[in-house]
Amino acid sequence: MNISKQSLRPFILPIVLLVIMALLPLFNQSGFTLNVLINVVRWLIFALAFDLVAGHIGSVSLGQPIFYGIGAYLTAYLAGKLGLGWLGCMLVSAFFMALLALLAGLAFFRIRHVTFAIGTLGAAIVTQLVANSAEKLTGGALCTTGVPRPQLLLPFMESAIKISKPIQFYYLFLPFLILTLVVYLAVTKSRIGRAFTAVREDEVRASAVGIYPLRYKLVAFALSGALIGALGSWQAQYVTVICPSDMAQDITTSLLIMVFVGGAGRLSGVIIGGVIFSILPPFLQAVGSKYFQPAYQQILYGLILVGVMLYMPDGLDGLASRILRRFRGIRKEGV
Amino acid sequence: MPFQLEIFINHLLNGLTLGALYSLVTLGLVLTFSVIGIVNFAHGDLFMVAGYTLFLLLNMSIELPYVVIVALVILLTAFYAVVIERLAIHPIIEKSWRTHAITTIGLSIILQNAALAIFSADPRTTPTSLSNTVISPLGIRISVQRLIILVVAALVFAGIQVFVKHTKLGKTMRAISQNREMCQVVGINTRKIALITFALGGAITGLAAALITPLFSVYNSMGSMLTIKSLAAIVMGGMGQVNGAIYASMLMGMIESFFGGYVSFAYKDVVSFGVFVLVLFIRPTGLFGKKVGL
Repeated sequence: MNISKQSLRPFILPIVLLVIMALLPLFNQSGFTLNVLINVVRWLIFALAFDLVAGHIGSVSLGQPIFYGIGAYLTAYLAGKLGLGWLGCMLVSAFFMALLALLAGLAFFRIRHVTFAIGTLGAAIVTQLVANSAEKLTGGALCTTGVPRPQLLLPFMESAIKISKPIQFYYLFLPFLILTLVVYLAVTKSRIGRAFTAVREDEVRASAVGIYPLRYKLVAFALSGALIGALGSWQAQYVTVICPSDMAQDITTSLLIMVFVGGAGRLSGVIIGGVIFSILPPFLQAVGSKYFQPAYQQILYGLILVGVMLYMPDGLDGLASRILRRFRGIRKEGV
Repeated sequence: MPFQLEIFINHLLNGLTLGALYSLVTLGLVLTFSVIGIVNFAHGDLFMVAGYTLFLLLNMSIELPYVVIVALVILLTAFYAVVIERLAIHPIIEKSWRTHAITTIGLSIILQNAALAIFSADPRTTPTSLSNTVISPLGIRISVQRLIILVVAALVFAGIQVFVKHTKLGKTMRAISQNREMCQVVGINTRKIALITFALGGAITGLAAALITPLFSVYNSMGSMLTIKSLAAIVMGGMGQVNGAIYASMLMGMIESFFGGYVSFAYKDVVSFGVFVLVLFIRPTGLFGKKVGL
């Protein structure tokens, strides 16, 4: 097989990222570091799954937290009432959220562009309101509590380890990020990914060359739903509490910031955006919650988002690659 | 529960004012959407800022008459809208809807949190003497403020119909909403009209805020819900159809009032958004929309 330098390039950043993330706890195991790292893993998975839909097929779904929330509530039921194991919960959540995404996709992809964004936002609000009002099912605003922690049982072990320390969670969580990255790369760097791009750029032209837009939109939506559902399931078992606010609109806002400030539709962009904006809040809080109220932090985010949209539409990733290209002395236009 | 006419009429009136209120809020948004083709996710936040402006004006040391205050809020909100248009909308007006959506979501974050930093998260009430005065013609109790909203909403809609059909500026706006490129070809300055539309939308939003907030309270995150309700009304009304959006707003007000009154108060928003999502599934072009691909 002929592997050129060019074809390896997309793998450099994720591998560097994963190596750093895997090794970091060896040097610093403070609660703060682990908290930040778990935050990074969670947001990266979320942002990558979001980008599959928003960046690659160009349908900005503002309803992705639905899959997260329902996945989490489903897990509370499966693990708490039926006693299903953690991996089982994640798989079942992923399966049902993929199914839900397919059904929702069939309905929502009848509308396009901004109507799609508005419709999915409406669906997100309905779901959150229901979670808030259906107290018997979800505990309402008082949240569902007491989701059991995962127990890890490997073949050579006598008894299961109860996963409760952050470091254990972190290392059990990291493979999930690897899986997400693999899925993301496998899908976007293949024929399917090119079909995604075709659908995003021009649906009519895509269908003219034999690419059925709805099919690819559904694939992206279902994959995204499955990943986010599994993430919600994981999160429920990590924090053991699920609230309606877990699918609030701020989550969508954070995702938009990560993906579009980083660079939508490009792995390096999502990684840059995801890492920066999941590390920034805990640091800003630690550095000076006295001087830097959450409100100011949010204002800063808003300014960054608007500024990026106005002055560098391809995001930080576009800026970085422009600088890199100049550094290498290569002037390529329109890549 | 036996059917009681009085309660029914109360819900009907409530639904009418709620609908009038939603349609006043929606009107500013649907105007900018249909003329400029921009969906402004910060629209509800402009309403919030106008509400705080009303709050500040009402609490000034000099006591101004309510009419003057309303006029001031209208002017100031139009001014805010112009500032927003110049700073954030103007540079991206020719870009894709995705850029529009994300930029205005960014604006919404800025406005909400600026309000949070300045006014804290506590709701502020802006009562006027009118909102506490209740009259009861024919045994139906209604506050004067609600009555004013109903009358003003009716006047504004009538005014918009006349403006759009019979003035030069209104006709220009209609032309741009139908075909922007052709308008540019025949020498219409579309960017200037965009600015004027934004100012007009801002003025209507200011009017809406000045009339509506005395009935409720102002808080920093109120805009999100207003934005999404207006957007839902616009989509149901058939993307960019001004009258359709108004009918849809009335419908939403009615649904909320009757469902909240007769079935369950907690689920009234669920149902009104549920209807919205259902409409999207059944008729993606909206209830009053023409069959066009949008």
